[in-house]
Amino acid sequence: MSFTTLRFLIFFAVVFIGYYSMHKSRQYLWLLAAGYVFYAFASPAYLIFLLVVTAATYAGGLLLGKMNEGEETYLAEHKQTLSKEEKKAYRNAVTRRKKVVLLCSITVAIAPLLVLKYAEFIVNNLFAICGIMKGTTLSSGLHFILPIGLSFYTFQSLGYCIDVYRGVCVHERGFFKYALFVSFFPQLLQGPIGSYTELSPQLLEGRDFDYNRVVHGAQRVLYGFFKKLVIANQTALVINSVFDSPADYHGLTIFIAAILYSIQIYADFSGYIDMAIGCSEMLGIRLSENFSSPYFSKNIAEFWRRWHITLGTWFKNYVFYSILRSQWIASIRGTVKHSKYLSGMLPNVMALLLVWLMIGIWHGADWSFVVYGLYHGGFIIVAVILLPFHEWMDKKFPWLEENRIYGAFRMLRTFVIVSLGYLIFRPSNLEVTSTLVRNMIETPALKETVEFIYRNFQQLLVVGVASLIIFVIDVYRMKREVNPVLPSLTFRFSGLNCFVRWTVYVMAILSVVFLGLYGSDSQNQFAYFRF
Amino acid sequence: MKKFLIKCVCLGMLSMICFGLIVWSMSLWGPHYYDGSLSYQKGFVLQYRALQKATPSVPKVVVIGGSYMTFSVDSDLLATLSHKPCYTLGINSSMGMAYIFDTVEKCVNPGDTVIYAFRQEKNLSDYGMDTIWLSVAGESDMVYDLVRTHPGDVLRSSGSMVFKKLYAVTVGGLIMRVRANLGDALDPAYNITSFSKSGNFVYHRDVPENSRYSEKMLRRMQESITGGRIRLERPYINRADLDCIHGFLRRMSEKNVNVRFVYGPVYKKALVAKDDDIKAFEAFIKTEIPAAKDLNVADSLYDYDCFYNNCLHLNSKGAQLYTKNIYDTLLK
Repeated sequence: MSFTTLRFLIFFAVVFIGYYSMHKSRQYLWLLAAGYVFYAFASPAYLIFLLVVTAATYAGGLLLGKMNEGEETYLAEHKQTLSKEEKKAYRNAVTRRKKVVLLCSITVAIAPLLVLKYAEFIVNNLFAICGIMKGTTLSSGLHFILPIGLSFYTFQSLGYCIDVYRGVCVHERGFFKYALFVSFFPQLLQGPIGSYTELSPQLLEGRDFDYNRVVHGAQRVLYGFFKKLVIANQTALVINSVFDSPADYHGLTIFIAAILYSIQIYADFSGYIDMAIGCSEMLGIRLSENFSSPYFSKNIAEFWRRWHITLGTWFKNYVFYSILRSQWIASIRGTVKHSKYLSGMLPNVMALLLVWLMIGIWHGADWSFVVYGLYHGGFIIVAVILLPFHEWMDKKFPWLEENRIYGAFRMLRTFVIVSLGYLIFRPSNLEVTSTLVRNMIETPALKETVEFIYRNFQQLLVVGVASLIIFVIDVYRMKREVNPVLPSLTFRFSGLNCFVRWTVYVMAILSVVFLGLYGSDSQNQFAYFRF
Repeated sequence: MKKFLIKCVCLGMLSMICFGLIVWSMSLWGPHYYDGSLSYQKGFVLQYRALQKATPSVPKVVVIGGSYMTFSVDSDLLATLSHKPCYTLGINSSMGMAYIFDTVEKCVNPGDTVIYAFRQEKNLSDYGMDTIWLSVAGESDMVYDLVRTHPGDVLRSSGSMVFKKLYAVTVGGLIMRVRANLGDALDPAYNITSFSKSGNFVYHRDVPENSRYSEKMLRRMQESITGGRIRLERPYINRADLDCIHGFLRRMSEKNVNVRFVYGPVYKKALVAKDDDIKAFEAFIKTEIPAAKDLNVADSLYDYDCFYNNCLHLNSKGAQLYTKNIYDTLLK
């Protein structure tokens, strides 16, 4: 069920009223039921995957938690009798067993994702290789439909298991309580990927109705609707033709389409996240932020700290650090230990390469996503390699960091790099990407661009004005990052006169109704649903 | 929570009232979109009004279809040949045939004949509200009918209608004027003045003719005729569209109105189909729509010199030939 449908609004109204009408001790069960009903709207058959992932990680977490408890109890009981070596040996033995349990749990939980998302890709590539070897074209004919949100809730559940394994959090004993953590409906389909320690206590704690919090949540939902329906959908209308018929467009038109796509995907994804966070806030639950003015980043590494923050955090916590701590990396570090620069840089580069390969693959099972991951990873790796040079620059020209023009140039540079990256990401097909890049470079086609702008001027006007609103809000957020004393926009808005606030509300609703594009399912589909 | 819910309801109602007031006033607001040029869409109102004025007791012939029909049928000639009052209804396929069916239904009586200029790729069963608004804006009875019969479609499209109208009378109109001054005007055929009072498309559409068209426009028209590609591929017509046609035929039959099918005109070389493909297509249509038993694609294929600005839009000469073809269908 998409957030931008009447069906969802009715569903949410029922959940909201029911949630605050019932006893606090039952609220979590109500949310759990809502999550499953919400997911069943996509397809009741998909519930099986949700259940498999939940059961596998719950059982894994339970076993790991009991092992942690057993280990602690045993060590506490034999504190005096065991020697240091015996304690270490015991810990190692428990860790080995925990590793087996973790591996089993992860394997079962990730199996649906691997099979449904990646099996087709892997088998097709194997067939293609066999075909090339035999001199013919072979196709497996394999095709699976990916249940929506599978990547998101699988990763969230895996995060819980790893946290329990590491002893970062205490395992959950109640199955329903844990199931709610996996299936909390606002974040179920597209994130943000939450951590168990942050989210679960909030979900299980009973809530009283808090007027201010609910109003702030509703404001955020409205803002999300505006982003998705007005900006993202109108932009999609303009640029879909370019990406669907890449051979028909050239030069600057393709470049403009890439820039517009960066606006579309930001409005689309952050619009969804605004709705998810807003709905949760209305229920008294605070979700993690997933965006922080990403297009104001000065380099690609910063961009990924501001874009899809929860995915980046997940990979950093559970993959990047694990790779850095691995034996393999330790051996690399050992071979280059004579050089301080190499022993610091090389392990980082290797870990980054693997992480970015995985981030690319996470987005989809296609070579284009592999290239997309390596495209972004490449910039970050180059920055790591050139770190001494940057440090030298900072020492030599300390004023440069504070220089506004240089700062603006860096933001623009990053924005263009990110936008060009979307030429790989959006088509999800390397052939289309190569056509787009070739056509973009070969001919400037200024006349075609003027015609393109004229034909879509109406939509571009709406997108331009609406994007300006997001731009101003993001600028203010950036200012607050630098100067946290500044009041939040919501707080400032709440301080306005009642008449002004209501006028803004009505105008916001009317602008969504009048300028938004809604109705058909394909148009209302969020870009990240496919992941 | 009660306070919050009451405020939500109040906000919703206030927004709905504002929304309703804006939509209603904008839909009844006089100026046409792009006032003059593109007012072609208002030709539909002329056709509808002419049909409304027709004497119910005198059997009439109504030819329906999209712009391929408007450009290609001369209802005055058909009236002379058949000795019956003849009308055309439908000026743009993107309005959706469903809306044309709805409209013609309101104007026909027992004994009348409806000729459906059929094009498989244009039988849209959904309502092209954006285009419909271009026609009905300012016509209170038509707006009311639309709101009454299709409130959901109206609600979904009214926002965009308001914006488009505001855009058209401000920025869009300005751009069009600038383009016109730069010699890049739209085809003059697309204007309300191209229709007679009875809704017949009387624009004299022969090419080339003195200095009415710029070289650029002539080239564009020529490319549009020769570059068009019409394919006969399975599935020729989807289930929803077939159901829509069957529903229309059933309602017409209940009203004792005779419905005949003719194939829409196509430039011979634009039809990408072999003889066998055409036969298969005709067989399919006749099986699925028994009322289309007289459908003959070959009769509707014309040479280049019969076309005006598109591989489906006939010129004055082509319109005469096609109208005679329709008359032959009437005689069958």
